[in-house]
Amino acid sequence: MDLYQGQFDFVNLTTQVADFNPGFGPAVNKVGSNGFGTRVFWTVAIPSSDLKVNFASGKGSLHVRNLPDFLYPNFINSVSSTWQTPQAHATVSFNIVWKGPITRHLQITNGTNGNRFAGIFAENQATMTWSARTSTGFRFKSNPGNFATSVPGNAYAVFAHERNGRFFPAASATRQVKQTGAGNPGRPPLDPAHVDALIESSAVRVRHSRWSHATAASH
Amino acid sequence: LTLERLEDRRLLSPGVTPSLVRLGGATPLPIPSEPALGFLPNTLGGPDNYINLPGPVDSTTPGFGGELNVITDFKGFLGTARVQGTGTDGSGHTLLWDADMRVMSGVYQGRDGRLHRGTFAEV
Repeated sequence: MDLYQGQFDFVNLTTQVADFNPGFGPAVNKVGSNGFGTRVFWTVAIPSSDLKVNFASGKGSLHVRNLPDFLYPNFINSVSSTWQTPQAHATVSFNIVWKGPITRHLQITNGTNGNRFAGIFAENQATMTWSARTSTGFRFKSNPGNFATSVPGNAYAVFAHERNGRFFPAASATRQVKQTGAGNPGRPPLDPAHVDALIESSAVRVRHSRWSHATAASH
Repeated sequence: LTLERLEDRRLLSPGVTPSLVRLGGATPLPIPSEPALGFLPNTLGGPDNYINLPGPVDSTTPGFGGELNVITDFKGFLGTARVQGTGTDGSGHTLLWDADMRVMSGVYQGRDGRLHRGTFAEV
């Protein structure tokens, strides 16, 4: 979550005055061009009860309270060699509400942009409010932000039932060769029945859509 | 006489999210390194990490849209929201804000090679 003064500058970040993020994950392997390994990008584990989704309607919410965060002057500081020296510790809270209408359905069967992935996708809209406070006394409280308050072309929202990596339907020899560290080279594809059983037993509050793959293909 | 748990300072490293450190072997894996997609190597000096900018999932522009998940070896729900707005700081100044949020909830294979269930937010 970023703050800007006066106007947005998403390219050169000249007007960015704050970058709140929770930090990287721990190094998952030693491969890394700068000695810091490879890490998951700015991701936190949260209680599943924070998330509520009705996939079929494109509606849902994510409510997170008092999440530990770090404050950096801008994006560059937080991903460069200064990533371990944030300006301050911070706490953020945010509410995201997704709502319809679903403006586009897609089925991706062989995605390759960024990963091997597949799934059914429902593009919708979202509204967000958030607040932050830091150990140095800075405070911020947002007004609601949604597609109407966003810079044209810079708002996006989507729901997906997705599988990627080793869960990708065609995960096989090609992927095993490509993965060099962060993945799990040489391991066989997972048993789909085992995975489905795990999902069914999950406490995740996601209502599964009655919208089937066959329906998705017709859009 | 009472015993108190010592604070685990390893969980408080600046720049590292404690909630993933606590997961140990269940820590999820980042989406893979694909040099054609731009984020490799991290020429700014920080850790190597991978994320596509928010955009249509059917985008074929490298690094934009497409895979919006930040966790690989994952099956489940993915939600994203990128919006902008305004707000006020503690001194009453109006500022603009931009947020790129993602949430993943489902089954994934952790660093330990085992399957786990979890819910994660990219903030």
